[in-house]
Amino acid sequence: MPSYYDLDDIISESQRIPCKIEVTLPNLGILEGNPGQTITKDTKLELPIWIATVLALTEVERDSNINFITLLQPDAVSKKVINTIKTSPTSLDLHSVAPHYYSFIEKWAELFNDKDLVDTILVMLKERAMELNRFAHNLSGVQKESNFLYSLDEFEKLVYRSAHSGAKNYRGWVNGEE
Amino acid sequence: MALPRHLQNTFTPQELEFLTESELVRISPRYKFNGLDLITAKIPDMMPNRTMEVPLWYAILLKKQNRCRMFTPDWLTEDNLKAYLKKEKGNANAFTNLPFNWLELSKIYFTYASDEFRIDEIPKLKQLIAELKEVRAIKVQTGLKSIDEHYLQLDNLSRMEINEIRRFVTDVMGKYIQLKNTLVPEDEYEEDDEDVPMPTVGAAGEDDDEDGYENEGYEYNYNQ
Repeated sequence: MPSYYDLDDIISESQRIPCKIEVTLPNLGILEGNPGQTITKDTKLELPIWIATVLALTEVERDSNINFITLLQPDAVSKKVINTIKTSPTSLDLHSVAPHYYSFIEKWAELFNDKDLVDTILVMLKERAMELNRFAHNLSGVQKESNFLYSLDEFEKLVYRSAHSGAKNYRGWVNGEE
Repeated sequence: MALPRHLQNTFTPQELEFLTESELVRISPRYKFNGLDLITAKIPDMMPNRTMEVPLWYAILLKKQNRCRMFTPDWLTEDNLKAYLKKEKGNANAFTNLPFNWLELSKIYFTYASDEFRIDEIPKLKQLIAELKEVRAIKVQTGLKSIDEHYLQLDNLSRMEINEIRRFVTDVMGKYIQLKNTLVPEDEYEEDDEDVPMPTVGAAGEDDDEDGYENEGYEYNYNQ
């Protein structure tokens, strides 16, 4: 589990995902940007992930089969994105898909126990990690083709910093800097 | 944690250099003086021209005062390093068995005991060390590809080299584990409790689900 104080984790919890309202909710129009109005059944909304997961799990009444909302498929796991990941993980602009892509996938996969999805993401994680490690150790390469580095999501940026500082510390030590 | 992130879970090269200084090395003192009984090391009585083993930090101390000769390690010669380099290049899948702190040791010897080497020898040795490091670094990059959530095996990698990749490896492995942990293990999957609410979760409305990634019918399993 990420740390309670992990800012990236907190931010990633507030990523919005699309969902469909299953019951009419009086006076909750504020969610749609119409304060005081009623949200009717079957409205589509984008809700932060932390509340969407809870509402998707909660039954309206005891033993009823209706939950407050149904989750719809977000872009981040759409067929288009997944196919791009499968074809060429390193050319995908992950940051523009979702700035906290990996934590989003974690939450999504936890909900649906989707093994295929996790396997695909693991392959991508490895390939992209190797690529950014290559960049982190080779400074001239960074200037030449820096598009990849702009496509890193927040977690990958952290990894890049780790990989880079390892190499940098070593170089500094060899060259006699304290 | 109070430490800044770049000092967490890792050593700085300077710290590793410090750790290496407790290694025993061979010296030959120039004067006679009494030994010392310390908690971590027993320093023998010094007799001129006798060879004895003392911790590296003590050897450096004496060396700075010009009170001893330091013997350079066997592997730290031009011929031996060339042999290591040849072996290193000869096998793309394994690292040669250099001492686990060869980078730290070589640097310490070059810095504090430079007069123990032949004239002009040090630049050559430094060159060879750098080449060895380079060849090994390429192998590390290749070896990293076998990373997964369980382990990563890179035999004979030295402490400094491990330290260089430590944070990268732990970060990536940590994410691997986090992602894997989101899945319910297969055996638990079977014993799905009947009483657990099992809402179905629909897919987006306008789906054409002919091929590729499955869009529909996410089964909802929440056994916690």
